Amino acid sequence: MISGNDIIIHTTSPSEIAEQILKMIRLEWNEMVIEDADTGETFEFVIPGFQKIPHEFFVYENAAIKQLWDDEGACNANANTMFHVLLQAQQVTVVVDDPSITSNRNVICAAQDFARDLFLGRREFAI
Amino acid sequence: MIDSAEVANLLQTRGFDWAIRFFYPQNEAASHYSERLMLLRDFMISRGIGESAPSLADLHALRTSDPMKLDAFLEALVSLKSSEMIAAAWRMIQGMQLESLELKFNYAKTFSMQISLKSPCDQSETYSTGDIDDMNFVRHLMKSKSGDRPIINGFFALRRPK
Repeated sequence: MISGNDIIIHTTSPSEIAEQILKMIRLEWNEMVIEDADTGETFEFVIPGFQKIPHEFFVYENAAIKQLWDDEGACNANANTMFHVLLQAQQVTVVVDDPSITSNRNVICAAQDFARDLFLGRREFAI
Repeated sequence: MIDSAEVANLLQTRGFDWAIRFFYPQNEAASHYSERLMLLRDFMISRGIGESAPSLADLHALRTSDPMKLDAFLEALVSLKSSEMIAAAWRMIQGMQLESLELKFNYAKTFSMQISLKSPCDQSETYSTGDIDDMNFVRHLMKSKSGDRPIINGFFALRRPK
């Protein structure tokens, strides 16, 4: 079995952070497949356009990997091939297997960078 | 024609009273911003992307579906000078990716900014300005880093979410 590590990104704008997380994951996995955790439906991340992002979703490396997850679940072969993202009122939680793996680290650091920049930009404006 | 009373109402309901209050003469603010919206539409039509220009109905819909994106657009509308850069902001709010940005400035002499946007199907659009009043565009850009790769994430509202 593989494990899950929770990375919490504090924010007042969970949906903005989630949209950027999807963009960052696509930089790593250009064939990513996204699944709404509530419905089990997969959906396209469409740009340009406006899209409602579900409050909980999974992102798989590609369609074959998603099938493996459907068949085998959290087995060792599926390590580091999926992001689990949860949006809450004041935070976004990203769950990965090993946060030190390059693709995981790139996405997590980019999301945290972005959240910090957004916070600083808005704080400056508010003062 | 765009109804200036509706534009004023949209601005006020999103807390942009200040954009009307600080405009001189104040009683012409609503018509000024309505005209900006019309000029924006004309500019986008001239570029062949008129179907993507924001209508008042689009903006009203965003008020409930994605208010932070509406705020980002309204901030662009009231703070940027040229229709070209307001269009660039709108295209980024719609999801186009900023591919490149070039800014040149010589004190008391020249200012120029050119940006290039890319759509998911690799179509490029270029926008430029020589008016330093469009410099505010840069304040709305948020950045991050993915590994060593520099990323500009998009064009965002500067006000905090309510």
